Amino acid sequence: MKNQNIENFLKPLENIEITEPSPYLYTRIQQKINQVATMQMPIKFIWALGFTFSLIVLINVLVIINKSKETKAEYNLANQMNLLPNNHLYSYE
Amino acid sequence: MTFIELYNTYNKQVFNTALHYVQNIEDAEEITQDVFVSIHKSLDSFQENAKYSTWIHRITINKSLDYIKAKKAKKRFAFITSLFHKDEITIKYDSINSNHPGIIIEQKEATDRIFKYINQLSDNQKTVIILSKIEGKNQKEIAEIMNLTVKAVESLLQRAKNNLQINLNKNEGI
Repeated sequence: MKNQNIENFLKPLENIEITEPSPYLYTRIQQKINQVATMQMPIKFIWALGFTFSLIVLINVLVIINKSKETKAEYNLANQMNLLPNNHLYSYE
Repeated sequence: MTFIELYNTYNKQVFNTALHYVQNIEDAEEITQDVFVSIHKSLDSFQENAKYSTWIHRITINKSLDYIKAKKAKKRFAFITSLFHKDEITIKYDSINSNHPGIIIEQKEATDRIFKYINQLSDNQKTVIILSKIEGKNQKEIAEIMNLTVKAVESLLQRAKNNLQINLNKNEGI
């Protein structure tokens, strides 16, 4: 009974007719395709951009690692020679 | 098949399926454009063992559902901004009555009422109702399009009908 009710309720959907889209639709689609094509970056440019970015990151990482090594060596040398590792002449302790 | 051949063969199918989802000519044309741009992009990667009509149907359904989601998000955003800008009270993207050119005038009121309830269903339930009741597809064809088993389509259709019945009872006491 329930199913019959709902089938009757949905019956007008069977009478919906097939309609034609606008005759200018294909031209608009072509326009959109061309727009998308011009908006897209060339693949070579994307690769070059990615390569440059990773190179910058790599250089930064290397510099940071080297710097921390250098400061450690300097600190050890200062310690061995009983030098102060900073520019303060007096200790406040 | 070339792009122009695909367009000539399937433009009506795409436009009408989109129309059943959005019930509005402008939105359906917008979706049709998106569908064919997408087809143009992925035509080279299309595997010949699948049917063109099934593939295009899937793209159309996905694009239509995405379009509806984006429209709802825009509507929510417009509502929120209208709370802060009192002068911009009009909320765009709101349509109470459909503008579906395929609906016969004598049945417009009844069909609008049905669409009001169909639009409340979940994406899958809405799709199964559109494909079976409007496009007249059998369960096997629907299963192929939706990438489901025939059994799953059957139970989805039943759940859709049950939910329609519940919503009808709630709102109209039918």
